[in-house]
Amino acid sequence: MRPPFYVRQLKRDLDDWIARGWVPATSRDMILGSVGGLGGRTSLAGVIATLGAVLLAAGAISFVAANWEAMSKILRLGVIFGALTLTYLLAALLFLRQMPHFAQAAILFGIAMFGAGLMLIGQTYHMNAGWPDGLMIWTLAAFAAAVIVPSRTALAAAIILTGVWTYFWLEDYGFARIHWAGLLALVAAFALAGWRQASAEVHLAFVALIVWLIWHAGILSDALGWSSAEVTAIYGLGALMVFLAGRVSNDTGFAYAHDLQRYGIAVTGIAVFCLHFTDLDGDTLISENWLVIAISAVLLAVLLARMAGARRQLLTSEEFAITGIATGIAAYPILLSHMGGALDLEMIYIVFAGLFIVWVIVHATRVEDRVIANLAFLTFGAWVIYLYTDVFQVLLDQATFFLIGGVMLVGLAILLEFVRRRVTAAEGG
Amino acid sequence: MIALRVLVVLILHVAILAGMIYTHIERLKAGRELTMTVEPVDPRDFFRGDYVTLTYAISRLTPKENETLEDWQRGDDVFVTLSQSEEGAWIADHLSRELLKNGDAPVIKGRVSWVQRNWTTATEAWAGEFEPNFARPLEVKPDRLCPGGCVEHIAVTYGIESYFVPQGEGRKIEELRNDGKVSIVIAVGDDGAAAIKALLIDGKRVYEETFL
Repeated sequence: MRPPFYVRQLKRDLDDWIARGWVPATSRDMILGSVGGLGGRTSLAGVIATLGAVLLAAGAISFVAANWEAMSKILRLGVIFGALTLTYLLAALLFLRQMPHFAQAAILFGIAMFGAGLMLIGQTYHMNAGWPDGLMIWTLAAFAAAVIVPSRTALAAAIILTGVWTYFWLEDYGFARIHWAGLLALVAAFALAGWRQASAEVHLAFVALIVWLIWHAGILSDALGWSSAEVTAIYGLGALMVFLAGRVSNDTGFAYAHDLQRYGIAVTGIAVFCLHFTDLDGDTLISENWLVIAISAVLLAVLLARMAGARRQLLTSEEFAITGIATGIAAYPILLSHMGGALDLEMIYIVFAGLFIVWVIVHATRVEDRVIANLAFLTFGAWVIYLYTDVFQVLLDQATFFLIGGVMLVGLAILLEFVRRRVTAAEGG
Repeated sequence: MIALRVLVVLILHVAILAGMIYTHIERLKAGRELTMTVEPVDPRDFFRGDYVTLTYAISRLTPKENETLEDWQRGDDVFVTLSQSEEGAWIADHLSRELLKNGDAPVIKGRVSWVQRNWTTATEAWAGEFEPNFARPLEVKPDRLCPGGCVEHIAVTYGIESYFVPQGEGRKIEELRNDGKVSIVIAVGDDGAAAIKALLIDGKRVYEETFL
């Protein structure tokens, strides 16, 4: 799927070309479909109806919960099954009346009613199945609705429920085991969202995957005997490879190549940032197999960069930059284990982080990715301020410190505006 | 066509919920009845809204002589073979990871919800923590620090720990429970799964679980 601004521009151009008679009107949907501009569209009515369904569900559950004890068992079952049946019948009717957005909202309400039914049946029959088991059933039921109907709201609910299920599962096991089922569910969510061209759900699944990885960082560290720096580095290297996979598939028509690049580079950035704090737990010793893993990961990154380069998706200079970034990330745990929190390592880290941010800015500007470019500029600004306050505050007197700082910030703002204009002009917007 | 698919989802969701109820009722009908004594717990902890927390003699398992609980981890499924004490209460006889039938002894399935370890012997390794050049202990070896095992007890839940009550009645039942007047009849299926079947106060059934 191409970036939204590109799809918007293409739609405008297509309408213009059709009006001029350059392009047959029958080709419009085919062309838009090839860039992911059809399907998966979110309407304002749909969003509002979905929010309404969420509020209605919360209200209905609260009302039932407040009056539950006053009801006989048969009435309770009647309420649970009646509400579920009425909701899905309403959804079916709305589909028949060609009101898909409202029907989707009704499906979401139905999934909420199913979850409420699970809890209320448990309460009625004094069943005390653990939270994770109940959430697993709820998640699977939402996935079933997402596949069978098919329903985007059900898919969104399934992704969110997967996150909640994973959290309670991990808590049940004391954050000591990997929740593979949650990861499998997210892979299924990616496949479903990709198949349905549901871009909002793809983003939701990416966010859920990132959260899943964050929750599992400590578990991986314990399970593999790795230090925090090693786990963070492997996350960073993995994300860099996701970015490179996005570049490699950029010209293949793969719908989510652009998203892979954005999330890949963003998570690589987060990992680079987090590397700085990995010595806080005091465990900086590298594991026996780290060198092999680190070299393998760097080689794989270099190979992917070469593939992207061969497809003209990366410049040769960028291939070298990728090699440097991968090597830097992989080497950090080794440097940390040998140098500890020494000032030399601090300087090496600052220079590395700065070079990484500069490369992201250069790359994002070249490929005209406004979101990543702006994000990188923001990070660059924060990095400069951090660097300035951390290093120069002790060297300069107060007045000079503020004066130079002010000049630097104004200069940074001018530079940012200059690049912003260049990117905007390149995009034609 | 899409409306038909929505109806398929409806049937599926209704079937899941109905299946839950059916399985539960079947377990109550076919399961072996055991009367469990409910133990008093700290009143500050147990009352959570509209249900009463029930703790049994088998909820907290301590290692017996020549036995260690080191292998058990939070989240493990556990099958507890029960036996009756001289007072007639059902207590844990032994634990296993698989369903092992031992004559007529009932077996109940639970999940380890907590492992209580005694790390007091490890504090020696932390002596001088705030001194310069303190070397942080990297890994605590339970076998070295606690001969025979560091695990003091494991907490196990069986899905029979919550009894939902009408709003406002929780306190009354809790007081009776803490006076030792409340016991619970559970039904245990052949697979070890348990369900609350009845509530007894002073030996009389005041609540019996039924379908409707």
